[in-house]
Amino acid sequence: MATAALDVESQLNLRRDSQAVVEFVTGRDGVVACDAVDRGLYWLVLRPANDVEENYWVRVAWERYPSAPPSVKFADAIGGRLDVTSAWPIIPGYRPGSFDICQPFTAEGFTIHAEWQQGPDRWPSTGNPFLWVTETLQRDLDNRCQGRSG
Amino acid sequence: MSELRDTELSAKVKGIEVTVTFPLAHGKPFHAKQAPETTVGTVRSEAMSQFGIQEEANSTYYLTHGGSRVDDGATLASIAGESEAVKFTLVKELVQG
Repeated sequence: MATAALDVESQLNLRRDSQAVVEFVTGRDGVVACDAVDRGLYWLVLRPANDVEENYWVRVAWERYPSAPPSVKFADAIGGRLDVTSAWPIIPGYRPGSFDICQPFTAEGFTIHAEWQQGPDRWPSTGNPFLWVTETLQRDLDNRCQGRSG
Repeated sequence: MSELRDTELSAKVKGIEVTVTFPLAHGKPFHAKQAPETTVGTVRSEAMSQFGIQEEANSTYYLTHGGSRVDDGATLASIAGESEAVKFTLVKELVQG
């Protein structure tokens, strides 16, 4: 499932910002992998702070960076299926049944709530949004996760 | 003699170098030298002002130190301990679900 071809500027921006993402994730014993072909596709292996034996595989797919939010999906492995309910954590706003995250940091959330494009929930395209998305995912796993979806 | 001691003491407590980073910041991190009794809430407010951020209804902002959330009421002295510098990260947390 490849994303649209990523423009060169987005590729350069992602390469720059992904360094901080790697530092953040590996500092928590996680993993970051970039797809060898689709340069907008990243795979994160994240672990909740209170259950480090648990691995969640997250696909973060950028079509433009940093000007547009990424598609964020949980998978059953790096490069794995995106339609597995048990790959998802139970977190408010995360919807394992719909395989999406209805929050203002994902493309899926902004598609459902177009009104988020205006006002305080608009996509933040300044700084390092990739790091912010990653930190948000990790924080949700650490503080709001109620376990793995069935 | 006591004046000299006072001078030495004031030099020791003259301030704590504070750095606040924010992933979504457009520019450089926030840097300031603050009095040890300054609260984290004050630092957060000044950092948000530099970053051009205002409080928003659907988000909460707070500072973390060493990966842990820090209460707005804590003083820099209580966090820095013997250190003359302390680094925080400003977190924007979405509250809707």
